[in-house]
Amino acid sequence: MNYDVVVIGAGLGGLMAGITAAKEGKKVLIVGKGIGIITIFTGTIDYLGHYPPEVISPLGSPKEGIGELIAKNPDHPYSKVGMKFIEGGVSAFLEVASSGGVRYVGDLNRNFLLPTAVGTVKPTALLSSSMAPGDLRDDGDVLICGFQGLRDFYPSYMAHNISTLTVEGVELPHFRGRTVDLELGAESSGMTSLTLARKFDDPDFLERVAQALYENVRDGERIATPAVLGLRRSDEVIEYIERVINTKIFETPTLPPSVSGYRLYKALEAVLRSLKVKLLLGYEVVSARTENDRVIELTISMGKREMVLGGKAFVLATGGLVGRGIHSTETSLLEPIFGLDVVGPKTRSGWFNKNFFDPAGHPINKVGICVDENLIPIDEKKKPRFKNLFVVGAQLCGYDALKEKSGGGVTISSSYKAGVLASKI
Amino acid sequence: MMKKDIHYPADQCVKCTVCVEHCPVVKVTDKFLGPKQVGPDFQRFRSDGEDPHDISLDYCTGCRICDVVCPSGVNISELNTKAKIALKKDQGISIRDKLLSHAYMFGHLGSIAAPAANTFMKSKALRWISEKLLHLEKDLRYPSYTSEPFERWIENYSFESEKKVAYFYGCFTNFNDPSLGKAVVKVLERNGYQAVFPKQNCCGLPLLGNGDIREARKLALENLEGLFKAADEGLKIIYSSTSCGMMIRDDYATYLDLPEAERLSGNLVEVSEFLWGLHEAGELDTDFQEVNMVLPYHIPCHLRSLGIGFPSIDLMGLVPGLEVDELGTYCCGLAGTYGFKEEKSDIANAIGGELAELLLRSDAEFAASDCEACRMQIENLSDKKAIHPIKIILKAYGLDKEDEDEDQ
Repeated sequence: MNYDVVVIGAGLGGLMAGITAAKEGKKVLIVGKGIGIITIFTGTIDYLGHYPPEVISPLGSPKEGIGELIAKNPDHPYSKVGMKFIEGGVSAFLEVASSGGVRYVGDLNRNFLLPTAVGTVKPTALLSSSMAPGDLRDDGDVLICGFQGLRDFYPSYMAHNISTLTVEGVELPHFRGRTVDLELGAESSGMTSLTLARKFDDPDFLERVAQALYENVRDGERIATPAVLGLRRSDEVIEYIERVINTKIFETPTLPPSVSGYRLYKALEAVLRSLKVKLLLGYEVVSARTENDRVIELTISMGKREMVLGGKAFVLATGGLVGRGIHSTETSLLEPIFGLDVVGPKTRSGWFNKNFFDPAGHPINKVGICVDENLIPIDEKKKPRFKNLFVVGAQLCGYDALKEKSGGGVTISSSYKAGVLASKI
Repeated sequence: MMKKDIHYPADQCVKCTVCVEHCPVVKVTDKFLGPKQVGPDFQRFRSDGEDPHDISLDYCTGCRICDVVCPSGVNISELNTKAKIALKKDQGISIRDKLLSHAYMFGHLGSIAAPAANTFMKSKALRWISEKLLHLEKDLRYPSYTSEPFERWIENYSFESEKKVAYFYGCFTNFNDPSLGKAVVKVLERNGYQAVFPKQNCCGLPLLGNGDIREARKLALENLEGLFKAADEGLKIIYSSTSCGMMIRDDYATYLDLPEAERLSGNLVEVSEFLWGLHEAGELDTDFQEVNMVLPYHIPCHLRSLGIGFPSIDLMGLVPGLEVDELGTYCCGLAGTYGFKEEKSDIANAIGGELAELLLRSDAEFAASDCEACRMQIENLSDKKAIHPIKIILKAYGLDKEDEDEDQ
């Protein structure tokens, strides 16, 4: 079957590129081996948390940082995307999230400083409105409330670690931890955040939680909970609880499964459906047919049957080394579908620096495919490989998302631009 | 390449929990530990010859959504199903589960005495027996049996053509919904294809779902005989039940130790997949009448795991006036015999909750799905009449009137 735009990869970048192209009126298909990191990540979109990357204190304004970065580093994905599309991507993302039913807030002018579940500081630009009142610069001490039986969330541990932090120019509020027992009857192995979040659909349960929180909170405190406050109607859940406790409540992302990531996925999935984008999951790309400098079609399969997908334009959003969009052998790095050039250390001995905490980061975290200003992959001689193929997200070369805290931002910016450009082919 | 045995993919699991997030059972109950834990996690013990003795496995519906969403290519449902089979081998299979999975046998009996059987199925006496003695769900509507099974109708079917396809209609079409079989045959006929009918019985999936692979294998061998014959004649083998298709194409080899079934893989084609193939070759009769309606459509889990895309959506997309509203729902909850079991029916209904909510919100008279279990569940959970997408094509060809006349 033939499409205007075929997107490979069903993570944050793939979905965003697909939605963008569909909004331009294109017939779009997204094919993924599975669902990408989107349902298990925090759901916050970090644009630039540290700049220069080795600086430990969080960056105040992502926009200023990105501006400086673009001026100094022409090989960074942000330089390839350009400020116009970076800003366009922010508006597009906020609009898409809201039309899918999750409310996101934030902009590029100022990073939020969020406390994490392990008691560190996370600078981030766009986030679910359910997390926004957690900014460390806001007034009010914090009661961290965990729930007995929930795995992997330890309020006292989080409070203790935050008490050891210093953040330049910020007077940190006081955090204290409490674990309330809601008599969930959870087995010894405990329950996941997702299971707990689903219980909030039950009004009696919600009332019980609100009551327990009210009994524990002191005057002047905000409440932090793990991100479990409802799966589908978290806005209503939060509104109800805040009415009872008479103060602000905010969510802190948990370890996977991540409720905040899942909500974002479901929102984007709903938008895809409303735009009639076809989403095929469980398929691998078996081969790609190319002619000279163009990609013509893909053959995909779940194992038994092969299907051929023709397209005018293609977007590659299959992730980096961890996401398996890039494969490695003892002596090489390769992109398996189109055989694009991957820039990075050739042998595994070159992957890491000797010092694990090296402020410069590790070479392996920067590997990727280099592209031109149109996000078209280029070879060693900087010649474009395929004129109708766009590469986005974690697969791009020249940046260290871990050090910079720029993963979500690079993904949204590049996939938005790729979606727009792919629609013009 | 590394050796591709059952253990190798389990080691590919990075514990990301995407499967847990999308598991329809985990969504509504904590009785099931979840696909990751009972699958790749416990596989490490099983590989070492230990037995985790996990009885929660019994709550897996076999929907295979876990396989579809897994970004690491782990064969989660295969690990779970094989462990479930081993568990049932240890524990034995209850009389209730045996009865449920042999429903095809009742089909033979039921159709002989359909009016009496249907009255009995609805009677309080049966309800009492089924609930108290057999632990079957009492509030569910059981599918009613027809007095003229499809296999009898085809005895008088006379269209002849050079172009032939074999049709595996499955026992639900045969005993409960022959009108689907007729629709498939007429749509094929309209496109110049004569349907021939290989010797067949229940595909065996209900038995596999209940862990009874010995009985399932017997049925499989019966079916393979007829299907091989059709394949040897070079015929495509059409199926109109996504679950039967999956069972024969994939599961005979994977679970029933019948690797020879893989020979059929190229022949077996889902009915909409076949018609779409004709369309792509420019051979489909697209002289469709308008069908003015919004049609809610539920994707069956086993269609997702067949790896053939969503051909009925594409096909219905050719019908003028029709707006297909793909509901975005994962798993209706019925899962074959699962929803008929007393201890699981609440879970099945809760899984179907989202589907029910969407259906009840819609004004449509009909809702479509390619799987008979999904259609049963749609009718259980809502006021919609559930139809197979091929009925829409029949209507668009203006052939549905004939069908009604005949049924009267």
